[in-house]
Amino acid sequence: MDEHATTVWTHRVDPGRMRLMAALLRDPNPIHFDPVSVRALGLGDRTVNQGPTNMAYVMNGIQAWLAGRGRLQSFTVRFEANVFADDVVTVDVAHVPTRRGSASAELDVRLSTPDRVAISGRAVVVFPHRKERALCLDELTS
Amino acid sequence: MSPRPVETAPVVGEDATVLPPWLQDQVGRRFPGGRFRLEPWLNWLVCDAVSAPPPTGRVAHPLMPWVACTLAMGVTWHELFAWFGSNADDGPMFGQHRTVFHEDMLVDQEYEVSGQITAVQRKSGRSLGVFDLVAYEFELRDGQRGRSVIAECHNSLVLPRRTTEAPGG
Repeated sequence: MDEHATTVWTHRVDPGRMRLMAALLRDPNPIHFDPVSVRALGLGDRTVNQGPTNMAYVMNGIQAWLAGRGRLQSFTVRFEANVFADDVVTVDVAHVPTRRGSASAELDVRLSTPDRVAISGRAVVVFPHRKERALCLDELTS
Repeated sequence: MSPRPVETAPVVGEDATVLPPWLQDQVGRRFPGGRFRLEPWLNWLVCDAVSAPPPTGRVAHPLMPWVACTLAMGVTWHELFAWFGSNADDGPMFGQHRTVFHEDMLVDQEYEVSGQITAVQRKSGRSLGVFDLVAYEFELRDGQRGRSVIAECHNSLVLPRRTTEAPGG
């Protein structure tokens, strides 16, 4: 991602929500809810956020930026590092100029903490009209 | 569910990154799949769990296709890991993910989930040692309106091989 990325979402990770997500997903991995297991694995003292939750943060950021003016068409990410309880994460997006039609846009996306990139990837969003596309892209750092 | 084959550490000179045949045979294995009804409460709670705004209409959070596919894939995570001789204690991790959205997923709607294992590779890395990279995909179809594809989820899992350390590693 280049230096022109725009931060569209910021959040402090709540360990209580990790426990809720583990229950909803029936995720048996104790690193999401049991700090003793996290310590035993040498991962520190804070529980580890679920990968899908990290992915959802990026989706939240894209949706906050779109504000109902467009929708996700595809979303591709690579998981690069863990996010832990109480980390402050930011979602950054940058427009990638392509030859796609005028009703869509391709974005580089990234979820990061102050010291590491947790997720990076690319999303394609579609708009009902050119006007919405132009308005949304104007809001990104150029 | 297939029993876990007995796996032994490779002898000196054996390539630890060669995939055993029983793991290669998992490619093409289909998930039992199943039906899934998206209840409004589940969408609300998932939005809450991922710190998204509370839903205001019928359109689900974009994470929900993946949630639906994994809840209705027909096996538990424990069982899926066991297909590859792994378990939650080995520290499985997500590798990559891609969702293609064809239509919005809606609450109060029935869906069908199907999927399969698409690839397995054995690799070796400095921090993880020997690990298996498992690729799998799901299709989420409308359960009522002509079974059109609503979303596709393509995923990979990283399964560290705690029991098959490379010689000297």
